[in-house]
Amino acid sequence: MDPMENSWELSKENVQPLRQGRKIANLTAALQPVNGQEGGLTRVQQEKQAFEAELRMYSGDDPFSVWDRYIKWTEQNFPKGGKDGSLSTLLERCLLFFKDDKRYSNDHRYLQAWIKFAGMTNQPVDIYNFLHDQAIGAQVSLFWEAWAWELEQEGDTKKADAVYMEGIQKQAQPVELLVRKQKEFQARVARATLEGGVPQQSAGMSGTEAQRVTLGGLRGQGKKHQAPVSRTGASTKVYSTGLGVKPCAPPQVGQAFSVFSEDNPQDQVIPAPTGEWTNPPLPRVTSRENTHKPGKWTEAKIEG
Amino acid sequence: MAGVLQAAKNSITLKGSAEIVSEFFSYGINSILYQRGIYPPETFSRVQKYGLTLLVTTDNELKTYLNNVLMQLKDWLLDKTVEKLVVVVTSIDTQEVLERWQFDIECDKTMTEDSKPREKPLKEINDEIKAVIRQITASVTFLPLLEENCSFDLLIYTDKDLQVPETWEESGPHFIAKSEEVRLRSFSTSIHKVDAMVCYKNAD
Repeated sequence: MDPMENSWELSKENVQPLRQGRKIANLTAALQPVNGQEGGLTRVQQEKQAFEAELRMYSGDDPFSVWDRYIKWTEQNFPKGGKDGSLSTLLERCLLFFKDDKRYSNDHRYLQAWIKFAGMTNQPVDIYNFLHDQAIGAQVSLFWEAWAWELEQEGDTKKADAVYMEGIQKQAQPVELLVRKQKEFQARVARATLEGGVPQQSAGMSGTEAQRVTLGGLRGQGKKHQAPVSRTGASTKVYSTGLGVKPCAPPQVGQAFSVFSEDNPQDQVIPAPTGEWTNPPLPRVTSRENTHKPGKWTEAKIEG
Repeated sequence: MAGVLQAAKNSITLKGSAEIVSEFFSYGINSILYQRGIYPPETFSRVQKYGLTLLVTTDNELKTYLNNVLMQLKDWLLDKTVEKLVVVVTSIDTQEVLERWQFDIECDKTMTEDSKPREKPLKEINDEIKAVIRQITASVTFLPLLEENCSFDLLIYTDKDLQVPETWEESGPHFIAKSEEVRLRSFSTSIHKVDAMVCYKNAD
């Protein structure tokens, strides 16, 4: 068998799976060791330059199409993900470029790029909040679905459900997809509450019984009121002092019940778009820290 | 004595070959169903086979279905009338074919039940099978995510003039319109040769 054909199998750990799958030809080519061509550029570098040039020269009426191809090309040709192909930088450039372009605010491809970008950040929900505020993707069911999915992952099932409702109400296209995804979501939540409810209780019970209490009172045994050997259950004093140590409650998966409150109607779960939030919460901005540029120590002066 | 045993281990009859091949399909199909998440992972249990840890379904209905198919397949392997086995993965909602695992089977037509056994060490065959199953597992590297609920179907291609059994029906090939194809490894018992391949929807 041709060794070229199966090189993907040898480096399978170095390949990040893609949602839409990979093209095997690109994958095999990307995994080949780079032949050091003297002075010349590798195939990947050449193609990258061609894309950059096309971005500058493009004069048609769908400038996003070039970006779209460029992004997909990067994904396919840098299988390792991460900083290798600097995909996140590319996405950021592209997303900011078209942020205020109304032509693309409900474009399927543009939304997909946002979703990819959100998936690469630590706070994907922030990105969706921003998009919602800017009314980007309000007509595309893909956006609502991705947003609800992230909320579900964070355990905020109530808000996730509200997001589905909002999307359906706005008649995002195709609306059937949203209806279907909402049903699947509700089935998942129902299942999680059913499955999570029963064992949670029994685990909690045995947990408190078996554990010794920190700084808890003990009942003395015998005439001399000696401390008992077994220090759980009946031998502890019932009264509780200070802060009781309770086993940490496992994160709630589904809401057992919701408290009705008059001044908390549905539309406050998801605030209406204001359009005031103009800068997207990019990770390089939101997680910025004070850093000093490295410099010569000998030249440092005390200020003041 | 040892010499006789050795000879028995390395020789393979048509019946034994059919056994090995259908056993491979049993594990292979189970692996696909597990890897691609077509059945929930908690309905699988671990078994050791071919020096690998494989997952096999514990769902009774699915087990019966697979057993029936594999029994029939074994008969056809003995008759040497089977050409292909295809596992088709379809989206339940849209009925669209998303993935197609094709196993081409070549039978040595000169072999009969009474003919002299062929020589091929069992270990060698098992190693080849192991490599195929490993590739099935590794294929997550390039396969697209199956984001919707999927079902699967087994298609078996046989010689044209074969009588269709009652429990079987004729079906179309379930091709994928714009697909990417990846050839996987193959294995051979020296009587049956199995070539594996997977097709999936193109990225764009």
